[in-house]
Amino acid sequence: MTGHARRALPLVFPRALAAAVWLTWGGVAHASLESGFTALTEGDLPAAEAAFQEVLDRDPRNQEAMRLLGVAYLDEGRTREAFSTLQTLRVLAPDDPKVHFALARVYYQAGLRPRERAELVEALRLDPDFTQAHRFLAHALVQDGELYGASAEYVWLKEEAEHRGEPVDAVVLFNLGLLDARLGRPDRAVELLRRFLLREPEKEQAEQARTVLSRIAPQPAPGSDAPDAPHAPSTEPTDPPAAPDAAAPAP
Amino acid sequence: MTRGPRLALALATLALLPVVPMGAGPARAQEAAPEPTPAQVIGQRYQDVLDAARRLEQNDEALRKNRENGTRLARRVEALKKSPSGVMRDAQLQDALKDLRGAIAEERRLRGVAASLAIGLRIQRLNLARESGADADRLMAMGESLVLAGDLETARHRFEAAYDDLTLPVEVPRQTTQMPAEKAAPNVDLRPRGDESPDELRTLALILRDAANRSAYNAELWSGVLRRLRAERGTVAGLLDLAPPPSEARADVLARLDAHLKEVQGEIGARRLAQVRLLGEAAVLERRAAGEEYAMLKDAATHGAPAQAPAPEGTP
Repeated sequence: MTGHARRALPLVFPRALAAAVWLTWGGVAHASLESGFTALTEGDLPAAEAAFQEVLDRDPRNQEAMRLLGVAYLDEGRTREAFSTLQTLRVLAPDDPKVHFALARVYYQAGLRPRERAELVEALRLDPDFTQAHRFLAHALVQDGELYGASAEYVWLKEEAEHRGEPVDAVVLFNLGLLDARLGRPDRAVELLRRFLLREPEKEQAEQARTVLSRIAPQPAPGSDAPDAPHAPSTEPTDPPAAPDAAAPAP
Repeated sequence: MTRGPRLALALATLALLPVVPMGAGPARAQEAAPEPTPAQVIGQRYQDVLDAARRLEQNDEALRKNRENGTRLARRVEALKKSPSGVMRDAQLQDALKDLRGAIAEERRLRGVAASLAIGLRIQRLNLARESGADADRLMAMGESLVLAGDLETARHRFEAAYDDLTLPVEVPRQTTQMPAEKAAPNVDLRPRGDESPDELRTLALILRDAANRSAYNAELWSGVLRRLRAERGTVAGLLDLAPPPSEARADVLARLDAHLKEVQGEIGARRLAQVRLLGEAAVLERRAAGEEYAMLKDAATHGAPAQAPAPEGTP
């Protein structure tokens, strides 16, 4: 070994050791996150929580683990823990739209509607193409009676799906159809409700769609002559849109 | 006196002096007193509300008793006035009149106290509401500071306490995918079908009026946003004047801001339009309800009671 190499050894060795530890821990953290995410998507919430907690025990500021842990708490109905975890994360990552969206879900579950809307608006400000946030916002606007705003959100969702070449969600078609019927746009309402009935003639809301169609369009609605329609007419005076799916974003 | 005893005397004098310097006693005492926790402050506000309500109740009770006394005295005065005149009766009448005047004065005083207590109660209730609302925000702010300081564990506890405060007055629905019915906005077709009774028409009109009020409220909210945005635009324009970027970029920033302002204005316009339209629809429904009711009444007056069974055919 030359003198130069001997002199450099004390400098190189600690760095190499630190890099090895970092790489090892990085691999462990990544594996834990992966396994936690798999457990979360499979609905094994305790396992998911344990995996994310393990990451956080070693690295309390790991934002991905914190967010997924908050989502896991939320899915488990532990809203208080979800709130504290996600609020902590909101301070650490104020510009992450996913964090604001997850917080909006917490507020939604807690029944704190104005705060839910504020978080959704913030999420959309940070990411205007955040589809799930648009869905939640549309729902919140319907619940608050702001039908014009809700209609605009559903139109966005419909056009976004069409733009991507994907089929428009039946819930979007149904809700937008109802809103159009309510807001005095019968032509578009008829078109949307017919599209909904073509897609989902047996769905729970189909009977309501037929009722509205028979009121605004005199001709028979498609699917209305189904011989064995198993559904009784809905007795609910109001049928809020189905809650948007609580899909956890990928780690 | 030699130096040794003098030193001992001085030390003894010092030892006998009070530990707290003169004039600093009350200040030290104040520092020593622990600051009340937010929960204690809210508890105190709640107690204030209860005290104010109890005082008002006591005053109401005194008012009731005084009124009974006044009624009894008024009856006595009337009876004395009707009784045969005499020195004794006049003296009794004078006494009764004096008592009655006292009761009337007391009534006036108690009414004033009641009004003042009612205002006090309202203020105490407002204080309580403000304190409990502010408490959650304060806890959130504390939590945020703790996160920034690196104490994540304590921050989580603060956030949990804030959550408890936020959700305390709210009844969390068990079925979270569906909001309570009274809060849900009607999203079914509310347009009248033509066969509604006057009462149903009035209910529809009320719902429309409610929606109109909501639209007006939202328009107000958006107006606040618009004011703030305009102020921000002024600030941005000023900053751009101070440090001008290339002219195209400046125009672009301001044009985008103007577009946002226009959007907000559009939102306000839409809500105001919705308000007017809903109020118009509600008025139409109310007029129709009144017209149908009038027609029913007229029909009843012309052809007898509508509940009366029609006579069988063929009877004279």
